[in-house]
Amino acid sequence: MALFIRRNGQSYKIRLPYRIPSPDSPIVPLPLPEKVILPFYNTNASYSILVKRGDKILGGQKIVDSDDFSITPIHTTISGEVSGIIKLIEPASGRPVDAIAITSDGEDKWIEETPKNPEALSVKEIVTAIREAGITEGVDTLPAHLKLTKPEGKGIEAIILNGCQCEPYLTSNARLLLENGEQVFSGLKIINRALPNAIIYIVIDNDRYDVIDNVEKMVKASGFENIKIVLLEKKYPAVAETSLVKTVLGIDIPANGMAADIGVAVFDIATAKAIHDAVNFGKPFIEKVITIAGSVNQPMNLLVRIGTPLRNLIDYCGGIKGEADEAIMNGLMMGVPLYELDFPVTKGLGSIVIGKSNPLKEQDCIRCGKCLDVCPACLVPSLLTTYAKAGRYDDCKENYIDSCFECGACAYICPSNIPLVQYIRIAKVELDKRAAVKQ
Amino acid sequence: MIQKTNITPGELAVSPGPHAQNWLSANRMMYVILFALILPTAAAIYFFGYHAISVIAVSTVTALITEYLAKRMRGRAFVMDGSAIVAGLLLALLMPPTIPLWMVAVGAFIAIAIAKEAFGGLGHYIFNPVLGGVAFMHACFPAEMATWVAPTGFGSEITSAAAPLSETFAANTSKLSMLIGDTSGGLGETSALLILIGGIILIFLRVIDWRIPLSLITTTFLFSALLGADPVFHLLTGSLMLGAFFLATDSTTTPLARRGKVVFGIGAGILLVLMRLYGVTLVEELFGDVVVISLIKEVTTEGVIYSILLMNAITPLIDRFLKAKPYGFKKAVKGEG
Repeated sequence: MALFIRRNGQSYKIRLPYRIPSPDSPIVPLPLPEKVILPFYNTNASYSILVKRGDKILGGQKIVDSDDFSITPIHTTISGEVSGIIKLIEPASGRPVDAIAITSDGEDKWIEETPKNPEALSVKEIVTAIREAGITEGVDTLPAHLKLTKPEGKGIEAIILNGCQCEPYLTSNARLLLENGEQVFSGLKIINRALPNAIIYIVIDNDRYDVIDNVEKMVKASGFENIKIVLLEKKYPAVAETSLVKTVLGIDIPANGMAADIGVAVFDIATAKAIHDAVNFGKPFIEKVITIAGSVNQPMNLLVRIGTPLRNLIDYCGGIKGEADEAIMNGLMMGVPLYELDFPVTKGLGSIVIGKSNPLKEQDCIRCGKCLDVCPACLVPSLLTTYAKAGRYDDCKENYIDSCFECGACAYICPSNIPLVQYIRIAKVELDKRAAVKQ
Repeated sequence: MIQKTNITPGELAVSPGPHAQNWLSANRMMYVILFALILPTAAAIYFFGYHAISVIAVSTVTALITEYLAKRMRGRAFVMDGSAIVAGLLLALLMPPTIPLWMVAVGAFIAIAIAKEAFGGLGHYIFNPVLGGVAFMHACFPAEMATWVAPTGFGSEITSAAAPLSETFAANTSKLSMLIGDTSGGLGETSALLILIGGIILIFLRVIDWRIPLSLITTTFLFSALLGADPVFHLLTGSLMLGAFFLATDSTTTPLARRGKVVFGIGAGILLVLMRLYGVTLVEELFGDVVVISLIKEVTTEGVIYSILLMNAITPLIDRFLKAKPYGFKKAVKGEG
């Protein structure tokens, strides 16, 4: 079976500018923070908090758990004392969430870790170990163990390991593959044990030759026969999970469905490494590699404990340079801006890009058709925006607004600087409200 | 290396994504079009001297003033977005060189005030404003719109010359001079080569979609060859090049979808060839040889203008019928689940 597949994401047109150089620096561990804040997002209240204020806890101890197997527990990432439960506002939705604040005691004491041999475990034990480690996947923080349990009646036929960088300035995936490649691979093997009979696709940017060589060596050394390396050309938006499945395999995820419905499971590099740590050593998911890029004095990749306030990271990079005044999490295109620098690192964070905000004036649509040229979901954003402005939300639904995954390619390319994504979001919110009212 | 950051809460700019924007804004597109028109304009001034300068000046200034007044009347702010200058310049490049200047002003006024602003301004008009103005002038001043002169540059003699699509023209003019522009014709239409260069600049910078010029030119070439005319002649004369690259590609009046643009180009090409080859005889057969009709004959030989206007009218229909099925709603391509 041929090892390399080249995909160029033909239908995706945008090459985002890479004017600010990506910090391709080796991963540097951040010094321990004085406090961590750990938000928990499950608002259906089936979780239980296992500690109270004043408790002294060791690093890696579980502090929030649930009887529901599909909800991941939360562990502390430093040792110290619980200082209370605070309310944070989550930047993406603007809703308040609860968070447990823990003050560090300066030492990094850990609970006992129990190394295990993954070969000796059954699939159920692997899934339980991954759940116990609290591993989540991606920006939406979906529990990783749910991806490893097969839905009824369907097998997973393809595993995609997402090693490419969807947005400019990010290099954490590439650095992880270069520096911790064996651990990522070992995590991949564990995933393969849980999902046998699947072809594995490792997706890498096609201009990172160092990463490609490294991965190729590891693939050949591992003796796996069902791995293919996919070289992806750096075009946006080829890499959101929905687009990635389409770019690599050529099939669409059905509307309002999941990748598992078509037998595909997508994993991040960070998730694979965390799975390796969890199953081999019993270590919970407590640290992540975050890329700080943009207008900081020294952009770099940092290994941080989850829950560290972001101010620590930015200070470690030398502080904000010049007139930059916005800090955006998880990439320029689909990312969410921060409203304050004390917000903590969460399990879903991958990068912070600091830049200068640039308010643009909206003009009339000139009907150039560029938005539907670049839309990965083959929608007509200008039409949807016209309907949204006129309040004709039912027409929006008829024009398949549910397929939009808000990648922002249309708003990027629009010559009239129309905020297309925002109008589409307004329409979606109105449609949800109407659907809720009907029920 | 550690340095405290001074930003306090409330100082971070929070705005929804995406936080990057492509360099090509609508205003820049207009300036790129002006840049692409530099060579044809220079050729116009070189071949037609003072006539060119005065017509271009009158047309552009009238267009700007009209746009300002029209926007004031509509209660909108006047934004210097270059679209009026482009419209004025394109209108001027379509004019015969000796046209009286007041007629040019009327044409520019109608183009901007009626064909563009009265329909809603940028992004909302149905017909290409430049072509609307030219069509109006054809109807009002058919004689002056059909007088052509030989290119004499800044010389003082004005020698009349054959109309660009007449048989005498075809017999006497070499293909090379049609390519370079040393022929009679509209101010900017004569030099096919320079317009082609400008068009390639536009395509390369992604200001226009390559599908419309390609489909229009290819259809014209093939269809006119099919019907027995000289395809290269038809490509190089009249306002075909200017129309293909600068007039038919006006984004507001052309379909949104890529396939729709191809349909637009093919339709315009077919109509264009039919008008040029059979328009005269058809009008004669229908209406006999009346004086007014004979003047209309002169201008319908120029099929570019009316074919593009007709396709502009059909554009909403094309848009409605050519939509792709979006992501997630297509049938499974590779096997089952």
